[in-house]
Amino acid sequence: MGHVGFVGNLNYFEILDLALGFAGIDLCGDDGALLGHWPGQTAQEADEAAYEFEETRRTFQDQPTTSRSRW
Amino acid sequence: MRRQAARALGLLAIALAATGCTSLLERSKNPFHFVALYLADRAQDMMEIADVGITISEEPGFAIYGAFASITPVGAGYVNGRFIGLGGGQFLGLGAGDLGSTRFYLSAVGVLVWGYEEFGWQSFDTKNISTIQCQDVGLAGILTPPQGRPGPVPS
Repeated sequence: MGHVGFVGNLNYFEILDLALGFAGIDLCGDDGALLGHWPGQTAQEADEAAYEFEETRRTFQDQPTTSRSRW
Repeated sequence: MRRQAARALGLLAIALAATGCTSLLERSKNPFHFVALYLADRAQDMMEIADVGITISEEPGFAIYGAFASITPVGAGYVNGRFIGLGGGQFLGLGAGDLGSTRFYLSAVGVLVWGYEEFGWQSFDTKNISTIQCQDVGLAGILTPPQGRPGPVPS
């Protein structure tokens, strides 16, 4: 709580993604991209799923505080 | 031993069937570029394995949140600021076009059997869900269909 926090997280799936990446397999679909997509899904399908989810998200989440941040 | 090898091959086949191969061939312009991109992708993968660092934010945030292997999400948190450390495919801003720190956003809630997480790294708009990672976690999250761009699960 406050202005400073600590983060500690281990991404197990990314370990597998790194290992398989050496063999040319992109498990997370994030090679050359900031965001990945679910296995069996194209990047476009992921964006479409996000678009569909956007309305539901707006119902539950209040946004004004996020837009004020200049960071 | 043979049975274990067959099992490993089976898992690899499932992984191959469920995912795509790397997009290196489409992105590379020549063989040297191919090698450079290959190494850059592996470096990025390596920097995505763990998130360890400090967050600082102009607005005060609150976060007490944990989820072992994305199965037991407990707590809640909201942070929108900057991240100093290793995580999200960058290290101290390197790999994100920054130096020292990078933009970071977390919004999460967990009630043990179900949880919901949103992460933003480097470049994102919190009003546009397709620019951030979001996912349901917990046992109930397994049954929920994917929602947009996923973050790393399990984590």
